[in-house]
Amino acid sequence: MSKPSADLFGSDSDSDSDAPAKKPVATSSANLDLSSSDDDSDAPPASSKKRSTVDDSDSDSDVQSRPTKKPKNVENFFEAEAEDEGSEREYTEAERQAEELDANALAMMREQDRRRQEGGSTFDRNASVEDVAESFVARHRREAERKRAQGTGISGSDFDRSNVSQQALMPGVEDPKVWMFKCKIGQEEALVIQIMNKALASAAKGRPLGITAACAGKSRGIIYVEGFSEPLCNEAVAGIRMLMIYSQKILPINDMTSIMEVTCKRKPVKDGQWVRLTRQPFKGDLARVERVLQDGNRCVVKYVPRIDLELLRMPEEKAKQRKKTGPKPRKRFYNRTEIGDAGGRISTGKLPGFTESYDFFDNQLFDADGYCIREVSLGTQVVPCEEKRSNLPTLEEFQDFRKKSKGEDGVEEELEENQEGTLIDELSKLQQAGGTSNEEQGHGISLGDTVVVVEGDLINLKGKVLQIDENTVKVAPLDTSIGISEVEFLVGQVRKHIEIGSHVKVLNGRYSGETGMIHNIVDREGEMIAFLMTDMTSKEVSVRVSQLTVSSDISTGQKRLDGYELFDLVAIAGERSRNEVGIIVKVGREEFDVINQAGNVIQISPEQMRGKRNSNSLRATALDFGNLPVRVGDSVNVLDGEFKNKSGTIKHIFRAFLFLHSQTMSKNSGVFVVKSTVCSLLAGGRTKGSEAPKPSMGAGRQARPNPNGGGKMGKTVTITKGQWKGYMGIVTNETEQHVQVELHSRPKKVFVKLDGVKVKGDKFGPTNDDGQRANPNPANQGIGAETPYMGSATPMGGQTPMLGGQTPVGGQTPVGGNFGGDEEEENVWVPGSMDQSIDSGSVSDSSSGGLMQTGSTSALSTDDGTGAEWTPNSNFAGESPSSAAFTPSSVSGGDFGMDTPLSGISGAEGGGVKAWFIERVYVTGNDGKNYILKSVDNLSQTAMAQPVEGGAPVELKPGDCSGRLLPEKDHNVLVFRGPEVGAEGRLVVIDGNDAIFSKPEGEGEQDFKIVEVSDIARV
Amino acid sequence: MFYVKSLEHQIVLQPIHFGPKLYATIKRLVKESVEGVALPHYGYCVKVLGVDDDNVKAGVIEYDTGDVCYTVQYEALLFRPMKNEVLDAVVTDIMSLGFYAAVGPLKVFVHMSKMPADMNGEQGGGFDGNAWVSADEEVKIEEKCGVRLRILGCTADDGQFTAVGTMNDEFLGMIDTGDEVNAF
Repeated sequence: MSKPSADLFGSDSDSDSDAPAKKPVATSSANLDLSSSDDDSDAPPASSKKRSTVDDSDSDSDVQSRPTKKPKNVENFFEAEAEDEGSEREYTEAERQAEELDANALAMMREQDRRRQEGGSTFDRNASVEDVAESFVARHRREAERKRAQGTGISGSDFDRSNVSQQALMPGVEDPKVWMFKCKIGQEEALVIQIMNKALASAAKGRPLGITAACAGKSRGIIYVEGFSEPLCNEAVAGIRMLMIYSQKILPINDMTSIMEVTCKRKPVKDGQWVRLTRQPFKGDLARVERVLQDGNRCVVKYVPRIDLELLRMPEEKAKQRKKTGPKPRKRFYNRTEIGDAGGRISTGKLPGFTESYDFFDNQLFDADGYCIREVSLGTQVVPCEEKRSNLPTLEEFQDFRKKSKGEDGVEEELEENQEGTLIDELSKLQQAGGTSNEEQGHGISLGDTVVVVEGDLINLKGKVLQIDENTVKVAPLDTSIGISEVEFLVGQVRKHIEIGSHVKVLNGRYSGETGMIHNIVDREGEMIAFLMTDMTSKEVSVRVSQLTVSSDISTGQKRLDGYELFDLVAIAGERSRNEVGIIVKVGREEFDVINQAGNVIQISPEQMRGKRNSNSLRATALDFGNLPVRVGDSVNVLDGEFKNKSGTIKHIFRAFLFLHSQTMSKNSGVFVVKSTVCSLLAGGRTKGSEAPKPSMGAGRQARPNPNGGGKMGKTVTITKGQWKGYMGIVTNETEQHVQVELHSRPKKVFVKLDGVKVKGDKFGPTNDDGQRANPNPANQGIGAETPYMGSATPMGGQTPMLGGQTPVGGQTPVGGNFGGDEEEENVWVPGSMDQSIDSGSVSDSSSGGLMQTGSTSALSTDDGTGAEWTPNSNFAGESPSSAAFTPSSVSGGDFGMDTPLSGISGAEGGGVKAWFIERVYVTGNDGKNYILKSVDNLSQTAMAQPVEGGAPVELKPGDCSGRLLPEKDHNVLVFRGPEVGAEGRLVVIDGNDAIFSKPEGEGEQDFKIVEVSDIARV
Repeated sequence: MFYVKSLEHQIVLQPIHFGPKLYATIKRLVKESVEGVALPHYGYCVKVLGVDDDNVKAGVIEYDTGDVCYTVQYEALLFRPMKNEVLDAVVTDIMSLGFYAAVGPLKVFVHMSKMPADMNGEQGGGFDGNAWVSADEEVKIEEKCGVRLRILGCTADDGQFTAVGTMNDEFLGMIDTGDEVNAF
């Protein structure tokens, strides 16, 4: 119901939460009245009265005015207090000040309200405790989210609010009820006014009627009365004549809104107008009005028939069945001979009231051109195309309509070509008509638009439209230097102007509602045509500039068909495909394009779908490459396969399949399918608009595993400290310092500090019994201590066929031992660490890079350019190319592999491996020659080496080298171990055991570094 | 174009932050909320250069919540793509309609009609699935290669700028094959 109408009537039907709030108002205004009775100024009582009435009417949740209500009352109270104590003169002074303050304060409060509205937090005093609690939870959740997604600056709450708030406005059981009364037709408005008068009169008497509203809707002979109780309502209408009180009926809650529904008046159709049929099997088909019948409610239309010739060949039973459930027959022109051949019986028939005779077949009439002729009623059987913009016929439809059935002679075809021209004319006429009826002017110009002058002295002048009259527009030139504030032009003299690169929305025509970016504008015979790249599907459309408006909206593609929408996850029916689902990537007129989980695009009709699976998908989680759970709305990067290195937002999840959406892909509306295990979560992934993660994900939402926390989620651990020492369990949740462990032996979840647990395995089975691996404490560990590294190392176990493949990873500990004593462990150089400092979100990525180097057995090691994930082209904005140079992949790999305690794969050949066996390093071979190591293969521990003196490259193993070539002054050196590991620079001097080298500028604050000579190698 | 400008920003603080570190918190929040964000009209805020304590005006307490709203003036280094500006960009996505290139945070779309005639198919060349290739196959624009573009126009929406560029002019076009980057 329309709430404002309730203001007319005082209501005594406050819900109890409001009642106490009103009391102080009454007392304070009473105070005021008393104190000011001896004062001449009428203002305070008047204003207070006004306020109190506002308060009364406010009782039924007028959200807008509520927040300002309270403070006013408080001020009133203070005013009153001040009056009581002060003298007369002081009172007026104080009052003036108070009023001033009032105005300022009100302005400020408005400003604050606005800001809060924008920020999305509504702090409503009258909300129940639960609501407030809820809002607090939501607020903190939002904050936590923001913290996670720091730097992206975009939160996804807008989407949620706009959708839900509309629902919240619907009447519920707590709202007043509506009774309807029958009355004499034509008297509805008079009766409502009578009731209003009665309400005013009784309110003046101090006994307000107990109803909240009365109104007359669109239905004839019925008025509606809204109130909280039936007796009060009866009382309100008692004594009103011409109202049939006995006909009182309560309106179901669901029907209440329909009272206020506005239906536009149906325009009469004209001959030759285009309409659409609404009944099956012609639903949506284009038809043309041939003749309007007398009353204007019926007309004769002509359309392309859908004749199913198959029916004629079938036995009657089957034909009946097919007619009911079979597919929609194709559009085809009626052909007498064809039907005669198929065995159909054709007779002659006439339209009632007309003399022309038509062919009569299958209860339908056909004219000589093959069209079907039928008399229909307007509104129920056909709707005019102009009524809705989206209904406008397309060129293809026109062509279909005009096209002659096959087998016509050449003359006819020629005629057709001529028709093409007229078709386009007709189309543009229609579109233009659609434009003019809804716009102020035929040029699509509206207030505030930028226009450019196309003829006259002021040609090429650009300006903003200030005013539009019948056929003139007032324009304020953009260039203020010419000294004219406004100029008037004829409408024909100006043209809408939109810059290339603007983001626009199409207002009308065939692409109505589409949004996109203009990449080109061309002048086609005086008509400016803009080419758009659409947001949704990344396709190119051309539209007249006059049909565009600058807008930052992004169309979500409001296309629906039979309740299905673009990007819905649907289950696909069919015997072969039991568990087939797909995501809708294109909504056609009759069918959808759907990508199934195998990545194939199939065309299916709504009948072939078994409903939506969106809600399942929203609840679902899948595990990414690093075993981090991913949900709908997250951004992920694809690590392998066809879509390698693409990133996208998860639209839907089905089991282990992710349906990703990428703005930059043009195929299939940007949707593609990948397995979740080849994706890595981009924490804080930049999501836009509707793709933003929905805050309400129900049970699925729990504390996200902290990306830095080690990724212990779902792993089996033993507890090594505290009360639960010795127990084993599965990690169900984790924070930065704690993990929640669900114990195997007891139905209990316990919180344990991170360093008090030891990883024993994951869901793929037990992992190596190596406590150090799980120990996330960086202080006493070397490289292995980098937890993200660890985190993703474990999944590797899952992917390799041999668990032994993990050992090299686990074995890093001794390397750590080398550095164990050093203080500055933060500097430990890990392949992924570079990324971390730049973007903590890239954890899983960076670690995957590291993983591929060490764990050559990984299934993913097909990716030989291991750096690929963290080269500057991946998604981490801040990363500069220089950092790539910093982390030549195999450097680290070699480092790890070599110092391992020789177990598993690398153990067999790791004997003579040295830490300096790294790419680019100068070494001395056993043959006495000096080499530069070119490419180091970690799997086989061999390197291609280029002799320094020149000659063909040879293959070297670590055992083939007697040692690294000691650097001398001015040589470039690389630190391969120690706290400065990874640093590079130019050697300045060697002083005993210490080497001093200068770091390249810009790498750090210190230009000089001192390290042990044994830790550096020449590069 | 890069430029430095003094801007204002409003920070709403909860009372929990009132204490000796108040100013530090305000400054941190300004940085966090502004850096990396596209400000309408001004462009991308690349870095907050400084916030003076003096430029933090006294806060205003909000009714109902008790939060305090501070207006802060800060100096920011901004990056604003200007019309007709020539920029070097890295190609990020190749599509059948053209390609996207990135200038830092800014995404620039170059449509095929804005490529030289010997590249967009008018006089040979064209899109081969992964790259835009010129007729003589000398120039091959693929992901990660560097191009020089002129900005034709841009829009700011949703915290992001998008621009349309052209390569169809003298001295514009591919300037770097991106091989060095690709090598890593």
